[in-house]
Amino acid sequence: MTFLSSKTPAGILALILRVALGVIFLYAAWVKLREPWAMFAMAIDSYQVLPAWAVELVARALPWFELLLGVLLVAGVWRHVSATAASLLLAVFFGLMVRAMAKGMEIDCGCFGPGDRLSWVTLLRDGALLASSVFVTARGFRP
Amino acid sequence: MKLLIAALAILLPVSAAAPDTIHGNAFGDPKAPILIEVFSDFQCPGCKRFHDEDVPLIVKDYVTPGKAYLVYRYFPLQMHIYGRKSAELVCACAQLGKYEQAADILFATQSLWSQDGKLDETLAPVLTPAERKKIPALIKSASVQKSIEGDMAEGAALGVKGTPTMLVTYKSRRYPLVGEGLFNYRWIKATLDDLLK
Repeated sequence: MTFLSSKTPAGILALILRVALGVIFLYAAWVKLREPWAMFAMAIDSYQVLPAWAVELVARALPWFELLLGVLLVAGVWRHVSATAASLLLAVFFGLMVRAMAKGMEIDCGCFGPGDRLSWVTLLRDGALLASSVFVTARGFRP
Repeated sequence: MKLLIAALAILLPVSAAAPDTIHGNAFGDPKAPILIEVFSDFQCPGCKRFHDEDVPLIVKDYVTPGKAYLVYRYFPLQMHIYGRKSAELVCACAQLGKYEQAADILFATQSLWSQDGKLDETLAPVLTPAERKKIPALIKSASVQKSIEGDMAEGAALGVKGTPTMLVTYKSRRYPLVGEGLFNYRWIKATLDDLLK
């Protein structure tokens, strides 16, 4: 029973956070997949870090990757891999957001579809998700 | 004579169609499957860039073939000292059927009148003396004021926070396009093509 494998408070917290992260990734994937992919491409392009071909590749592939990650996290399958991947992905997002904020860019976050303006709130939200993911990853590697 | 008839046959449908394709600040066929609303401020540099670079391509690829109906919405920002005045002037020109000419000249000379505020002088070349006399009354008219207030209220209700914002409506769903990515026509085209396929 994957879901009940740890009964310590930290283990239960890790379980709750993992499922919550999974649901958040599923939601993020859903809002992107229901829109034309180029709308997400616009959000990525606003960060001005990738060439157009890479923007298109990421815009088309990332929502499906988020969907897969969400399913794996919720189901508790390949926990080490999925938690590590989620942490790395969130770290990249966080880094890009910090960079954009530092440059004073007034852009959409692109996190949960259009209209989600990049701000301290979105930065705090992504930071909290990253911290949660790192905690889940670290718990997963405990003997 | 045959040549003249042939030339008329080619030219007549074009000249007959022209008045139907431009209605003030709206372009194309209102029954087109896609509605594109552009919330724009004449003093906003991004709006000038969008007007100069993207709009001609949108018109060529989607408005002229009848795939999209393009409507410019007045959305003067408070941060722009001449934003409201320029919107009022262009809206007044639109009442005289000269939206396109007024908008084009204001965007083309944006860097000049944004500094000196000489909007009336800037618009003078696109108006006849008789039309110029009508402008002050038109600016104060309810139709001009309501048109601008209506567009601003609609934009605020739809969550428009800045300019330019492009709202695409297809099958009753709205898709907001904003940000730096808006200046890459590749994404606009991909979005519209994706909706139309």
